[in-house]
Amino acid sequence: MLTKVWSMAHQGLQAIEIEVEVNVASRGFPSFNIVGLPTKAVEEAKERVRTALINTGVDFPSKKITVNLAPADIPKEGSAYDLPMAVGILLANGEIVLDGTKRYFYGEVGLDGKLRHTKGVFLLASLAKEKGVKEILVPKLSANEASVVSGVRVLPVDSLVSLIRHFREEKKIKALKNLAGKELIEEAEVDFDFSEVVGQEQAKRALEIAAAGGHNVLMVGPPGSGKTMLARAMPGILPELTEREALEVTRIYSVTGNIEPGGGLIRRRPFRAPHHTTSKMGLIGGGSKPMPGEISLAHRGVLFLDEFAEYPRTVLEALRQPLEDGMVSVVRVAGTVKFPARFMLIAAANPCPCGFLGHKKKECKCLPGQIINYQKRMSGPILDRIDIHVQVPFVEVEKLRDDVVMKENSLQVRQRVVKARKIQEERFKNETVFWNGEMKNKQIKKFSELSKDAERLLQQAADKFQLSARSYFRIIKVSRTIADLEGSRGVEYSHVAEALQYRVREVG
Amino acid sequence: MKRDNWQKGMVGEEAAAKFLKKKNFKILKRNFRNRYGEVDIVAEKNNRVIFVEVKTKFGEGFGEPWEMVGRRKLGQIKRMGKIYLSQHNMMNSWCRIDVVGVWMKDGKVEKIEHWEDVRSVDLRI
Repeated sequence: MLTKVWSMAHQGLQAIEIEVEVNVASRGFPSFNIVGLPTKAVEEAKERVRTALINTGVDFPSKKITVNLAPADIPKEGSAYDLPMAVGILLANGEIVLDGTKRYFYGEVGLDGKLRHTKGVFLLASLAKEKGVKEILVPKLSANEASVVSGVRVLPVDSLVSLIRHFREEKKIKALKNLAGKELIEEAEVDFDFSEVVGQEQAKRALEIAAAGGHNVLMVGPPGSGKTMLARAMPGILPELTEREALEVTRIYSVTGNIEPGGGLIRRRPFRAPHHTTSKMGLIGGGSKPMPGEISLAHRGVLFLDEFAEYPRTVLEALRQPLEDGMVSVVRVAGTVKFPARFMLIAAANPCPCGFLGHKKKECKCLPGQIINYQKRMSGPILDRIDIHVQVPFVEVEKLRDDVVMKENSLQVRQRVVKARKIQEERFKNETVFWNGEMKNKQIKKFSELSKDAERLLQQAADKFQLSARSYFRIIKVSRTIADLEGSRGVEYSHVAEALQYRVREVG
Repeated sequence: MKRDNWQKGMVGEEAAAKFLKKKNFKILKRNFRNRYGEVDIVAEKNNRVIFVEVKTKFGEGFGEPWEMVGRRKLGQIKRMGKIYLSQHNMMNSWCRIDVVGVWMKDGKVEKIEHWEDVRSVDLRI
């Protein structure tokens, strides 16, 4: 008896429809074989499925069972094929009968027949929508991921028992209510509020500009000056995720298994802070079966690299292409996989190994050679891709105590940022970019009309500081964002003057 | 000693065959053997061909009879089974492997137990 049910495999973020064929033959010795390039986790499904069916009270056929996962040339990974295999055997056994409707079955089965949280359900729901499949059956704990995809009936399955009763029409499983993504989006949870950071007005201003225009930032300063705190306060001033962004982020998180059981749409802008011992693949993504790395997990959010100069050089250099393109393409023998990686980079570093170079009161103990070596770790091309460079100087102790000036909190800053982003949204309606930080030269020329005196100032600066072509355009980009924050249509003298402060500078 | 064990085994197999006949199994062949190994009993019931391994046990020690049939032995029986089927033009039949344990005490059969389809209990073999 041959039965067929449908499921899904994925390569990177791309979903592929998989046909699970189960043949139960009444001849030969009893056996259970899986073909179609199963990896270990799939191979082990035999034991799970068999034990689960027996523990559910179903007769496991003492027959020759062959499972084929087609197309047979795509490697099948993970435990999600447990459910389609179990359903195939139930069908062959005559325990349940399905009508002709095409459905997807997906999920890991426990030995007791209960379904476990399985990664990738959001992808399954998207695939179902794309292929016009009306119904998907997924583990209850993962079903929420699928609930934001409209037009697909999501049936949350608790256990094999409830699945059998559903198809025997004894007790129907209630389809999950479709949720509108918009209602789910939440404000970011932040460790720090901007008002908690003492002093550092310039750095705060720089971060505000960065948030408004999606620029990358490098903060340089002595230890303990508040670099990390500032970065951690960053999510609080960024606008909430839009629905489209949330769906993109959820896709990545679903595939990597970063959604906790019961969780649904990713509602908050990602903030990723990998340690500086993170490997190149951990950061960029990859592996023999390519998986997204930290930069993709930071998609539409913030990637915070603390102790920027401590990262191995090869790791930092690998950031070049993603920073430029907003995505990574990982090429392996098995094929090419593309991961989106449109993130905001916030980097923090000390100016020298001891950290006190340029300090007002403390002396730097480093040798010139050491300082050069240290600063050389951050290569020109990487620094060149960071629009805003800002000093985060030491805060004097007296100031910590007496600072009674009313400080702005994150919410006030965010309101300005949101306003600036609205302007950009309107501006880039028909363009491929979203933020000022992503503008290419073409868009810069089109949207950033400099006033006469602003133009003259920039020209002077370019002559005086020997600005490269890239730096030149970068300053215009930052000026554009500063102008947007002010709500100004054109880019004026004062905007360019401020932007000039954030160019690359030799420290010390 | 070797010969001794063999004789004792024969007594057990005899008892097992009788036991199976009583349970309405049709005995097709006893001691099917060639250079690859041996199957103690080939039987048939309800259109299913059954290859039976008989384990005879004297005294209390050394565990249960079915524990004495390991992966290697089961693999051998399966291989022998396939040979039997092909020799008798029965390749399309539905098969299984059973174990019959015979307990002996003072030269008499004390107890017989029958485990059906032992291979399905652990399909990795």
